[in-house]
Amino acid sequence: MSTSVKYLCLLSILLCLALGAVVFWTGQHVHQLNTDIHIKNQQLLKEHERIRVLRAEWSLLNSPKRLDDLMERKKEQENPQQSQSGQFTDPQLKGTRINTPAAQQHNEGNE
Amino acid sequence: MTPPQHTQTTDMNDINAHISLQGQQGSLKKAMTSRLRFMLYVCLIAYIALAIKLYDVTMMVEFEEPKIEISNIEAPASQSILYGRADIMDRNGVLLATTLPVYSLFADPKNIINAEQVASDIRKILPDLDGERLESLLTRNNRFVWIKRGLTPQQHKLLNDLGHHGLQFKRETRRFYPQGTLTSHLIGATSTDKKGIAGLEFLLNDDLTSRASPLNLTLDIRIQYSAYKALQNAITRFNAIGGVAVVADIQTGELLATVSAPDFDPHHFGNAPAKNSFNRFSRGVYEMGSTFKIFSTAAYLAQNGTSASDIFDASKPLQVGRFQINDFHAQKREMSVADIFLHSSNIGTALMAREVGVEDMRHQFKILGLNSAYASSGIQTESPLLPRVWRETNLLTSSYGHGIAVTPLHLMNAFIKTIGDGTNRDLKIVFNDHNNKDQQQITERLYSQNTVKVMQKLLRLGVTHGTSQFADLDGYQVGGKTGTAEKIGPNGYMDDKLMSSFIGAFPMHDPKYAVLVMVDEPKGREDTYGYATGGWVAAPAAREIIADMASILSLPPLDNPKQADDEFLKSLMPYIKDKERRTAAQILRRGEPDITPKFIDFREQE
Repeated sequence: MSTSVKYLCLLSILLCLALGAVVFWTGQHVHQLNTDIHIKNQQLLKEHERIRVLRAEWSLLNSPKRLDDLMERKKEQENPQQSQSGQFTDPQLKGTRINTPAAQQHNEGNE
Repeated sequence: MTPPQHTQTTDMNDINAHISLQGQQGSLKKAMTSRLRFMLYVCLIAYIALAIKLYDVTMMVEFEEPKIEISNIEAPASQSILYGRADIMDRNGVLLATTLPVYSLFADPKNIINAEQVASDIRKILPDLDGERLESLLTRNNRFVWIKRGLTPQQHKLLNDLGHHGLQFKRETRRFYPQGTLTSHLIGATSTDKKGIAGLEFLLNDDLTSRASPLNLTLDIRIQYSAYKALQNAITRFNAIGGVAVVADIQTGELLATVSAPDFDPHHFGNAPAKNSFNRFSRGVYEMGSTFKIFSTAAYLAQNGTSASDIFDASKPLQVGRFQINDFHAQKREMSVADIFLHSSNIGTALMAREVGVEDMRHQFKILGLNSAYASSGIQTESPLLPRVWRETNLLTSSYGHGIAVTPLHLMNAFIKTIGDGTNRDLKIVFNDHNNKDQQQITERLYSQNTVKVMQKLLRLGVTHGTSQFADLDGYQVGGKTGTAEKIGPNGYMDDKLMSSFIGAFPMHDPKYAVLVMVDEPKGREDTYGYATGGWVAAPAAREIIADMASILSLPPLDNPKQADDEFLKSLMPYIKDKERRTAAQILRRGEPDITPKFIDFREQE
């Protein structure tokens, strides 16, 4: 009787220690998960905020009034001519110096 | 022989000692056993407690990713609550108003070491700030002064990069309107403390601050822009001071566009001049002129059967007491109801109104909502100006739109009731509006199908043969009525200040959309022969809107418009004397039939 009680007691103590360790581990794990969720939620809020700003920006950029203004501004530009297009291998383009401001800037940079 | 006794005695002692030892061990053992039992019970209880706790933390917890709402961070129940105010969107989900996070700059003057240098650095990034004032702010004897609220992200970064110790930032939210002036009168604006102070922001302030989801409007931003552009073109072309354009879905009562010009920047509402922040479509109360003949004609048809053939004597001016009602270009003949409407005869319309009678006409105005302020979710109009005492004179003048003044929304509301399906359907601007008792309204019929059909034909006739020709768009069977009313000044009617309007619908065989354009104080042009009437000013603007709507909403034109018109107007043609179709210029050069109502001012009536 006393031997069995002794073992049972020992077993219980070990079991208690094991269970205590499991509970401690679980508690730590939950705490870690909570921290992760907190961080993820903060990231989520930031993403929400970014999406809000982007949606507002998208609405601003796609406002029919703005698009119409842009169209009116570009409408006066002349259509590209056939002579303006070609391939770099075309003989008439070889040695041609392009004099647009961007090309000049590019050339100056190279020089 | 003693020793054996001794031995026996010793043995007995040993036995007694053994027994005594056994007794001590036994009691010790007994004590140990009870302690072990106690420990066992303690361990068992601890074990059970731990087991319960383990079961609780593992099995009883919901295995679901905690949502942002229930997490322990400062996340609120919804985005709208996070930002203090719900977004506003149009019917297609285009953002009209939203709240964005911004940073505001403040300073702690006690921590500013070199105020002059700091002010100079700040002004490099915020050049609109006054240098002297800034410096005085930075040298104040307190711990907090606002420098600039609502910084752009770039300004925030540049100011932060300055690294001045006394400069700090506060995170705030700010209302942002991506469509800017395009929807300014409808959406309105908020104050710096984010309270609605104009438009829907004001009318629906409580709803916007409490709702979790965005507020969806019936507005279509594409049609809104089309109306805005057409109105601006008309205002510029005729050098007008302002105007209104409204588009509505006749079958549902949904407002698709509401424009008032001039407008304002909703981000700087406080800086807008009073004339710009005045909302003409719901706050402006105007005498509408000839467009009111739609309602008096409908009232006559509803009361006296649905025939447009009844004849009235419009050969001479109508004498009412000491007043006389004239036609601008009198036909000087007997006219049918169809002819009266086509030629916009004041005499004929007044005679029809006389047949209807004062009480019945007032009742008609009442059921059309023309006698009281119109209030619905998101819409709040000014009260109409009505005669305080209704006499016969008031009845007759109100029949052609004088002596009674209403807002453009009143006009549109009454129009869709008259030419839709004859049911009492009110205008609305907010989707999912539970307060709007649609079902009850639909069951209430105001006009019979026949009355509505005759009205639709009369309106189409006004475009094919009348003054509204410039509103016509081939294949879309536009119908409508022009109106030109002199405005009232301090000394009565002003013949050089007009309110020129057109209200119409399309396609008239089954009207789906209604368009109203009003232009305030247009000036005549050389190419309009000096005229600035509704037919010249507002009808072409309405046509522009209808043409845009056709492409925006993918509305196909009728296959054979001429044949469709002939079929549609066949029943009216016998009652029209002048059947020849003249060009718009031919008709309009004769001048818009209009009134000279100088003899009456409703405000002077008792």
